Order: sequence, then C-alpha cells, then structure tokens
Amino acid sequence: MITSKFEKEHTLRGVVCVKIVLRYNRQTELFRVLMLKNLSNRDNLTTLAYMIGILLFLVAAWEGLKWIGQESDYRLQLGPIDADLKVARDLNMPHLRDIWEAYREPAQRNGPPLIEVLLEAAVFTGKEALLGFTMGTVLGLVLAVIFVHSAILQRGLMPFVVASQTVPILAIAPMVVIWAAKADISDLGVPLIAAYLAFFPVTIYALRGLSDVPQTALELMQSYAANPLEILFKLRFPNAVPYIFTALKITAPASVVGAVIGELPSGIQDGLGGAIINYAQYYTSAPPRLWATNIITALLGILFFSVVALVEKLVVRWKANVN
Amino acid sequence: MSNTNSQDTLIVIQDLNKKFTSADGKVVNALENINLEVKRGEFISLIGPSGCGKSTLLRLIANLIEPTNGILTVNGHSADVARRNREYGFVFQSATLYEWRTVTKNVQLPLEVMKYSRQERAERAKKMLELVELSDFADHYPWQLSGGMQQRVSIARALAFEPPLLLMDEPFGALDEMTRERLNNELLSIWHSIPNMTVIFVTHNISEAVYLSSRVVVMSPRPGKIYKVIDVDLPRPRSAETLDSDGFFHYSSQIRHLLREVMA
Amino acid sequence: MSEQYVVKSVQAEEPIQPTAARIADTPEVVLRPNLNRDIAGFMTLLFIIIAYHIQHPTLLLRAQFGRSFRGESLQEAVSIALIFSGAFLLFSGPKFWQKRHEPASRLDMALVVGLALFAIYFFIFIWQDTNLVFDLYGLDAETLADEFREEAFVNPVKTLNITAVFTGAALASVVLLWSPWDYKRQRFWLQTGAAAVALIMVFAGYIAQHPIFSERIRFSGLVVSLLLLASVVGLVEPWNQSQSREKLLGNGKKSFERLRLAVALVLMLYVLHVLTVVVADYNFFASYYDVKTSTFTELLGGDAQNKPLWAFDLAAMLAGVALISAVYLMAPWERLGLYLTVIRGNIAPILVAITTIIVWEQAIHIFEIEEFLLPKPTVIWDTFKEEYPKLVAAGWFTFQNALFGFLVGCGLGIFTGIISARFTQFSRGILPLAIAANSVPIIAFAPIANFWFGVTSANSKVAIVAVLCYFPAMISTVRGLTSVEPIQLELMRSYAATELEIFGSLRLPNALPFVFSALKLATTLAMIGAIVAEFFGGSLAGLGYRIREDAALFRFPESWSAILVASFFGIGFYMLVSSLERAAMPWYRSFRSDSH
Repeated sequence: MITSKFEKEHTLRGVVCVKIVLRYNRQTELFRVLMLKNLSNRDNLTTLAYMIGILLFLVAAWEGLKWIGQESDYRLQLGPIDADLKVARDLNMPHLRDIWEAYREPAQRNGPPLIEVLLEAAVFTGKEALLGFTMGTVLGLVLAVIFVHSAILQRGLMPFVVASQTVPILAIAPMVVIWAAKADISDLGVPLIAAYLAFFPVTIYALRGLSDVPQTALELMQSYAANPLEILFKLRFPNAVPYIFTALKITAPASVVGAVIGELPSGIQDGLGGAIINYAQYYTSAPPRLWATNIITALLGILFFSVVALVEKLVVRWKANVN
Repeated sequence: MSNTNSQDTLIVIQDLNKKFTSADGKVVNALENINLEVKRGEFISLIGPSGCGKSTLLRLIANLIEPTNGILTVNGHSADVARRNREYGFVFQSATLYEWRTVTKNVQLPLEVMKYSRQERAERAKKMLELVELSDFADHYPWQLSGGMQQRVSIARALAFEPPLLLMDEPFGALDEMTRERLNNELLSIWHSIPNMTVIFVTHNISEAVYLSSRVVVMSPRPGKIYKVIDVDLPRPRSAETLDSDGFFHYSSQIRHLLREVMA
Repeated sequence: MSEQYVVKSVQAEEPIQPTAARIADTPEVVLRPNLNRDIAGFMTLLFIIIAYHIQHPTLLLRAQFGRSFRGESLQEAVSIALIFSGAFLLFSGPKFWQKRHEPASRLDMALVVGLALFAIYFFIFIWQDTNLVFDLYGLDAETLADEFREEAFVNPVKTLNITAVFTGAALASVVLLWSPWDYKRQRFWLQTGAAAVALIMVFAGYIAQHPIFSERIRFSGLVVSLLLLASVVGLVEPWNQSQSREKLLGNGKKSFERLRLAVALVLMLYVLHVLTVVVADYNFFASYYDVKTSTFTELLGGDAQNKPLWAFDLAAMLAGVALISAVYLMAPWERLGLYLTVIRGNIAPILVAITTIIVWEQAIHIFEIEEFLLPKPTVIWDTFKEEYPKLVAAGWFTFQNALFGFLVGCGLGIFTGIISARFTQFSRGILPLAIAANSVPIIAFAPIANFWFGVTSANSKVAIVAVLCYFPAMISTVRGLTSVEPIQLELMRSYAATELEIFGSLRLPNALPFVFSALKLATTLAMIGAIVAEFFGGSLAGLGYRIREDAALFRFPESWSAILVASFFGIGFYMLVSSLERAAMPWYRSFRSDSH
C-alpha cells in the first residue's frame, strides 16, 4: 500500500522541494529519490513536453523534407532558392517507416530478423565497452590518486597523459589487437582500446576532485593527526565523487565509441562495428539496414550514459545542486 | 605575568617568532617575540586588528604551521606531539562540515579517525548534539541547516572527543548579533560543564571577548606582538546582567582604547 | 519568474597542482615564462627555410620534398604562415612604434624590412605566380628545372646556395652595424665610409670564394678579406666607450651591445670562411656536401649556366637577409636564462620521455620482442625521416578537414546554444536531447555521410567532424549562458539593464570558460574524427587513408610515424585554441605553470 503525503517544505535556503513520503519499501526508495528534485513538478512537465515536441518536430522535418523532395523531383526551385535535394532520395534518407520495417525482416536469407542480429551485436559490443569502461575508470582513479600524492609524478607524466589522447586510436587499434592475440588475451583487445578512450576524463576530473578540497577541511584532518590514507578515503574521495560522475558521463559513451572503433580495423564480425562495415558495403542494396544499425548503436551509447546518470542521482544525494 | 604552578600551566610560549616568505622574496614578520602562558581551565581571548597574527598564533599552537623559532609547549610537550595525541579541538571560521555527511556523521568524523568503536561513536555524537541542542537535525545534511546551526555542529564535532583544549578561530564572526549572543551563552555553559577545559578564542569583537573570557590578550599588528594582557575580573557565571554592569563597560572601553592605540 | 537555479557544473579543465598534504607557509606562485618571442622566431625561421625551398625551381623537385609541397594549398598556407609568424615575432617584442626615436626601435624596424623583402618576394611568387628574381634575369623556372634535374646537380647547387645565404646574412649584418637610420651620431660619415668598404668587400669576398665565379674574375682574396676585417672593426668600434654612446643608447644599453657583438661575430665568421677558401683552399660548405672543387667547374662551368646561378644565389641572399633578421629580432642570446628556467621547470616530463625511449629500445633488444609487434624507436625514427614529407602533407590535408569541420560545428553549436539559452524552457528541453545525442557514436554515420557527399569528397569528413563538434559546443554554451549566479542577475536588474546588456556583460563572460573547455575538447575530437572518418573511404591524400593502408599491411613503423604526425597536428591545434583562450580570458584562474 502506498500512502503519500505532499509536503512543501521551504528550507532555510529558500529552495522549494517536493517530497513524496512513502512507506518504506525497497522499490519505492528508488522512486522517492527520483522524485526528490529541485524544480517544481510543473517545470519538469514543461521540459518533458519540449523534449517530445522537438523529437516530433525532427520526425516531421525528416518526412517533410522527403515529401518536398519527391514532389519537386529532387530539385527545388522556388523563387531565389535553387537547391538540389538529392539528399532526400530514398537511397540517402530512407523513410522512417522503412527503417522500422527493416528491423523485422531478416538480414540474410532465412536468417533471424535484423533486430535480433543487431541486438546480439549490441550485447557483444556492449560487453567490450563495459569491460573497457571498468578498466579505464580504475586506471584513471589510480593515476589520479598517484598524481595527487606525488607532485613530481604529476609533472612528469601528465603531459603524456594529455598527449595520449591526440593519438588516433584507429592507428593503435590493430596493434593492440595483435598484441592481445600474441599475449593470449585476445578477448581483451577491443576492451583495451575502449579503456584507452575511457581513462582520460576520469583521470582529469578525479584529480581535480581529489585536489580541490577546501583548505580548512584539510586543516581539520590535520588537527586530528589523520594519516594520508585516512585523508584520502574520508575527505578526498567523497569530495571527488561529483567530479568523478561528471567524468563518467563522458566516459560511458566514450567507451562505446572506443569499442566500435576498435572493432573496425580488427576485422571482428560479431559486434556492431562489424555490422556497420557489413551494411555499409551493401548500402546501395538495402539502405535502411545501415540506418537501423546506427540507431541501435546510438541507443547503446545513450543507454550507457543514462545508467551512469541514474546511478549518480542515487548516490549523490547530498548536493543541493543538480548538474 | 603571574607565577603559575607548573601543573596548572597548559601552554607555555616563550620568545616565539613566525616569519613568512612570499614567492618574490619578501619577508613578512607575522609574529615577533610572543610570550604567553595559558593556565588550565582558563578562557582566554586573542583580540586585535587584522594582520596582528592572532589566527597565526592559534595555528601555531595547533601545529598547523611551524614556528620560525622560539619555545612552544602544550601540556608539557611540543605542539606536534600534542596534535598527534589529539589534545585539542579546532573550530574554524566557517563551519567546514563535510557536505556529503549527515550532521551525526560529521560529529563522528574525529571519532572515526581516532578509532572509537561504533557504539561509542554513536553515543558521543548523540550526547554532543544534545549539548548544542541539535538532536532533531541529526540526520539532516549540512545544506539544510542555517549558518548558525552549522557552526553549532562544528562545535559539537570539536568537543566529541572531549579534548582538554579548545581552539576557536573567530567561530561566530559570520553570524548575526542575536545568534552570536545565544551561541556565546551556549559556549560558556558547555565550558562550565566540562571540568578543567581550556579555551583559546580568537575574535575581533570587543564585547564578545570581554563577555566570554577571564583574560584578554590585545595584539598589535606589523609585526604581530602582544600589546597588553587584561585580566577580566567579572563574576561567573556571566549572564545578561553582566552585559549591563559597570565592570563590563569598564573593561570594554579599556580594551577599546588599547585597540585605538594599537591601530594608530 | 521560475526559480533561477544555480547550476554550477564542473568543466573540463587542465589539471591543477595538487595541494600539499602539509600546508606550506605561503603558496608558491610560479610565474609563467613568456616564450612568445622565441616561438615566433623559431616559426619564422622554419617558414623562411620552407619558403626558400618552395620557390627554388629544382629543390622542390627533389625527392625529399617531392610531390607533397607542390600542393598549392600547402604553399599558400606557408606564405600566410610566414607573414603571421613574422608579425607575431615583431609584436612580441617591445612596442617599437612609440619609441621610434630610439635607435633600438629603429633597428627593429630595419630588421623588419629585411624580413619583409623576402616575405614579399615569396608572397608574390605564390599568389601572382611571378618569380621576380628569375624574371630579373629573364629566365624561365620550368626550363631551369629541366636543366638542373639530375641528381648530380643537387649538392653543388646546395653548396652554392648556402654560401649565398651566408653572404646575404653578412650583407644584412653590415647594414645593421652601419645603422643608417641613426645618422645623428658622432663620426657617422666615417662609419658610412667603413660600411661602404665593408659592403663591397663582402660582395667581393663572395666572388672570391665562389668556385666558379672566382675563375672568371680574379683578384686577391686575401686583400679582400683583410680589408673586410678592417672595415668591420671600424664599424664595431670596440675601443669606443664614449659618453655620447651611453647617452644615445640609454636603457637597454647592454642588450644593444650584445646585439652588436652577435652581428660582429657573424661577420667574423664570414671573413673566416673567405679566408679559408682563399688561403687554405678549403671550402667548409663544399666538404659538408661532399663536393670536390673540380666538380663545380665540370658541372656548372658552362656559360649558359651563369645567369641561373646568379638567380639562385640572389634568391638565396634574400633568404639569408631574412633569416639573419629573424635571428636578430629574436635575440636568443638575451634569453638564455629564460630557456634554463623553462627546461628546469619541465625537467620531469623531459626525463620521463628520454627514459622511456631508452628503456623501450633496450627492452626490445633484451627481451627479443619481435620487431613486428613493437618496433624500436630508432627504426621508427628512420622511417619517419623518410616518410615525413608525405605524412605531413597528408596530415595537412586531413587537418584542413578537421579545421573546417571544427569551425562549422562549433560555430553552429555556439550559435544555436545562444539562441536556445534565450528561451529557458526550450533550452531545458533541448539540453537532455543534446546530451543524449552527444553519447551517440557519431562515427557510425561516416559511411552514410560518404553516400550523401561522395566518398572522395572532403565534405563528408567535414560533415562528420562538424557533427562531432556541434554537440559539446552547444551544450557548453547553453550551460555557460544559463549558469549565472542569481545574485549577479539581481545586480544587473537593479541597474535596469536590458536583456541584451545582461547578455553581453554578464552571461557571455560567464560562459567563456565553459565554451573554451568544450572547444579544447573539440580539437581532439576534430582531428581524430577526421582521421577515423577517412577510414570508411576517403581521398588518397588523407592521413586516415594512409593509416588504414599501413594497418592492413601490418606496416607498424609507418603506423607509428603516422601517429607522430597526427599527434603533432592534434597537439598543435589544441595549443592554438589554448592560446586563444588565454588571449580571450586573461583573468582566468586555471592557468598555472603546468597548464598547456
């Protein structure tokens, strides 16, 4: 049974908070936290309305452009405008309906429907991305902790950490895959590439969060004669959590990108990268399939991002601000 | 300086100097030739204009910075031993609560570092929050509290491990008059309730200094020196009546004149 | 009015120095050394050298610079870069126009003239397709190129030209010492005489040591050298410690003296060179390029080759004047202390780099790792030396795509961001969508872009990069414009400021840190995006294409060379935007000594 009480509580900082107090229940705890927002409910609904509106507008624009293209035979001549609307052809911009249909039809003769193929590929790539994400985050945190405690190491290594991100992973990818195969850890090849993209934001933001503690908070710990390890866990890490989450929201989709790009030159067939190459090759015969693949890839990236954002909402409850 | 029984003396400062060197080579004489003895159980205030080094002196006693030369002993041993033995609690100008911890967890912070048992931590925190009258807010987060309340939590935290010495650096400076008076009274009652507790209180507020302390140390700036030490001979316990008394007015104006001399 | 909520978001920033666990007495403020002048000087020198090679009819054809630098866009870029770096060099010194009555400033202006001569010549060569020097001699670059195409001509021509460069430098140095703009000083006419003698002697010395011309025009090189020496000493006047000179030079006397010493040194070296050729029959440059004196007369002794040689040398002299002017403007001897400080400050990363390379080299040796898996640094370096012109040209091609995509994407992003931020509810709606779109692997759309714009068209790559850059730019603009503290807004409203004024004075400066962080992020995205976009098919001229080929054929040393080049462009791009940021936001706190 759910009992609800609406409390409008004016806190001492004048923030309007709407709390729905529910009887304690594991699942409702989640719901409760999600509802604890700093904007009024009305504002949230308007935001949602705008989001849906923009999406609908984009859908309408897509089909609208195609319709204009069709009607004008792909060359629009209206007053001063003389535009070649080749882009609106079915080859370049398939009807949204066709993309939807493509999911249900099999990609190969007598094969499973495309959606199944793509979902399998997504799971494959997703696993690589997840592993890469984990490894990258761990590496980033380790580096940040080392850097915050040793100024020398930071000065020495940080330029290279930054420079590492200018190296095109496309060039590194084949090398990493071959090294991994040689070292008998071929499963870690693509995750390593994803980790390469993932570790950098975590390092930078975590370092910032670990170092950016207020002077007096440090002095407080000193007055307790706390050792550096205690300071790390009781002060620096909790302080760094918001920063780390900001980084994770960048890292999560980046690991998906890394996994996809890592698959490209490595000739791996099972993942989304392989699917993209495959359907790109046969694009002219079935354009909607590539679009379908891209949409699934996009959703994977968004999924990763959303999970992190959700976890952030659950964990970071003490902040009055919402990022 | 009166003769003191060595067992009564908590802090001995002799010929203490502190120099700061900035990056471009300039040397700032923050404190010069400080001589002071603080007896156990005293409530002593440091007052002076900005730049007189009162906060620096407090931080030297707390071993948050090192003196350039001179003698500084706390409880018979050096300041860093005192710090490692956790013989004092420090209250800062701003509450410095950890925003990710609830009020209770904030009060428990020193206890965690000092490895008290879980049960003891809970008990002490509860007791301290009762002392500062914030038991109702035990599970709130700092952002939900006003400035005055946060400062009270800060005091509760400083007292949680019952240190014999309390160092306070302009703790009520950012608060309004009404809250400050209330907190002054609370501080005094806490001080009374804990036997033999010494308090060193830095402030720039004359009436606060006179109201709270048994001795007021007036400091002068550039370089920081002790200008004069005034014994405040007002009866305890102090109350609203003390504020109206002639003695209070006498000491306040004495200190006011001293400060004018110091700033000239 | 709905609650103006303070959203203080954490931006992508350079790392900051960690605070010490123990509190220091006072925080160390490390001032950032200003290396603008040195960077400008170095860039100017580099571009002069490249430009000289480009305008030389035959050097351009040599394998070293081959096809790559014949690309017109690259040549045009070099000419613009030359002008910019020259201007940068000039303006990074003390403001000379205001002090134009002081000899030191007028000296600077004279040096600019020296630079400008060559720059204008090159500029006209590139943009008007007219080589002034060759026209002067009535020559045609094409036929010259054909004549001098053979391998055997390379080194002799190089030797002659280098000597001419040196001569040009010596000529410029004489003019500098003479300082005709400083005509009010004592004994000026005496000095003019000495300068006239010196100029003639420099030229005579040039002929005297020239392997071919000295055969035609015979005179005593020894006499020439001694006369030159005498006139130089006369110009420098080392015995002169007079009062009037001090008054004349005023402040900065010491640096002025040092400059004159440096100039005198150059001239002395020139005299030394002529002397060694004339007396000891030893041509330093010829032996460097391994050319025997007899070879000169054999190959280039013909009458028909006279004029071309003069033409080559004239152009070389111009280059020499420009080079020495740049060096004198930069005055590196003034800043040795600064260089030491910089090296000391950066000793840690430098040591790490050196150690890594040494360990890498040795590890492959000791552990007998297959070259196939991980090439040695020395092997990579050799490959790089061979391949770099092609790689740089390919990198430049890809970089152009990255740059255009960056400009379009960020420009659009900022523009739409500004518009969105104006309507609070709309921005609240579009922000989550933009963030979601940013999470999408944009690169997956590269094949589709290829179909839209054509596989080999640059536009498909530009489009991908633009989309990559668009979202971070837009998101950060919206965030930056809206995350203004309520109290600041209240202040502006109390001034009855209009929305536009609030925008200009409050929101825009507040947004700058956010926007620049995103721009710096976008530079890395742009370059890498351009390269990866080429993976799905692109012009042969692109870096991505080369990398794909190298990867497919497992040519790892080439891959590493390509990585070096791509990294170079990426870092350069990032630093460019970084310096823009510093120029736009001088107040910003995040700039510490270790920031890029």
